[in-house]
Amino acid sequence: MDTPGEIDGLLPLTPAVFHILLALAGGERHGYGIMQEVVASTRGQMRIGAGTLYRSIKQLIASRMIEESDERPDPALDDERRRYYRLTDFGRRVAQAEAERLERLVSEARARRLLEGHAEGRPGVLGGLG
Amino acid sequence: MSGGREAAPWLVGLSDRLYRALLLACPPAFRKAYGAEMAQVFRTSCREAGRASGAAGVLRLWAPALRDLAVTALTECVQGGANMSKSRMIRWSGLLALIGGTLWPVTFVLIIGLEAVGAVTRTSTAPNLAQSIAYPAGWLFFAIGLVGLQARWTIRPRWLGWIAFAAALAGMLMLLVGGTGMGYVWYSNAAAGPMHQLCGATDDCQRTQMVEYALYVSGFAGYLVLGAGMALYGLLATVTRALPRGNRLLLVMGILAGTQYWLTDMGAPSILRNTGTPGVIVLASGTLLFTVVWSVGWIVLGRMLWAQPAEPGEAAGTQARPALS
Repeated sequence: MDTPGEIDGLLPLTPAVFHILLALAGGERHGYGIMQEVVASTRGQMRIGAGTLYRSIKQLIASRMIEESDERPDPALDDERRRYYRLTDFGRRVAQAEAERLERLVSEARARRLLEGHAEGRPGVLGGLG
Repeated sequence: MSGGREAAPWLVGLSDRLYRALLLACPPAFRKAYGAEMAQVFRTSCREAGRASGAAGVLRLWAPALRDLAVTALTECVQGGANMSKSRMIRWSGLLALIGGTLWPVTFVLIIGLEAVGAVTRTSTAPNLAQSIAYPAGWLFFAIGLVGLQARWTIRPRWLGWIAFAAALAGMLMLLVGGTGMGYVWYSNAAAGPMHQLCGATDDCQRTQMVEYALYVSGFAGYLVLGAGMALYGLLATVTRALPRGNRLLLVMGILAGTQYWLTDMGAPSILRNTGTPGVIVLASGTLLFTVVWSVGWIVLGRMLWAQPAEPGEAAGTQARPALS
């Protein structure tokens, strides 16, 4: 069973790792799907290469934050079978802890008036990471 | 070559083959585990870029892909090398600890056996020389084994685990230095006679005696430092179940090491030293118990280290995974 100390020891996450966890928080995806989701959620500001993606996947599996799901074709793409990944409960807790950490940072930035004039909905700090 | 917004299947195919060839730069284990997926992702990226932006879109993918691939290959090569070295070090530390655990009882039994048959006496050179070598060699191997344990399993909390490890290691090194030094002193004395009988009040003689005394203190105070460190190490391991087995064994080994300070010549309470045979039996039994448990303990721990595969994280990333069908 993980402890708060064990999760805290993993933070801060690298931008690539956090975005992969974010992408999987919405449901299981294959590698290309994760890349697409990252591009979409960052509005094109962050693109992960295949090498970075699978290095991160290797680390995340080793850290028990994600696990392999199954292999099946993606009807939206082609007939090729693709390996899907999903977030584990531990990975979800780590992603939540990182999101909370970033939220505290944003609050600090607002308190110091660094985000004055930034309206809701505009690309903010979280979207520009990486 | 079409510069318009048309699919470029020939360029996608060429890019795919070229990317697969460049994957050879990645270490074999990583390539076996993730190479097929990486190629599939790149191929899909090229196809989508070709549909969206034609050949130009496909070509634009190459610069970031090459940079990404170079970083990945370099990182995985370096990490793979470090992990391999670390795994090898851990396994060899286990083997040395196992040898150390065997060395003490074998030497002890051999000397006792030879004395029993009259081949040697307690003052003979050979058995004392053997002890002078086996004792410090054992400490050296145990120290290496301890390093292997620390490298293989994380004792939490990390900061306290490191303090316990450092104390235990320091104790072992004190015993190694003290044991080696006293062995040398004995060997020198055996040839020239006991120092305290030969030298008088000269400065050289007194300095030599001070060095002897320092080695003597190191050789026994080391048990106190080792005992404290090892007991804490074992306690943390037991509470957190850091090792797959042997956590309580570490704790017992630490406690017995600490008691050795009180059962040796320097620390033994006078009541034990002055009660004749019963005191001698207690002292000898305590030392025997420590020697047996310590040796067996390191044989067990050494076998565990030697037999351990790579760390779970390394195994997960490098084990052979079925290729995508």
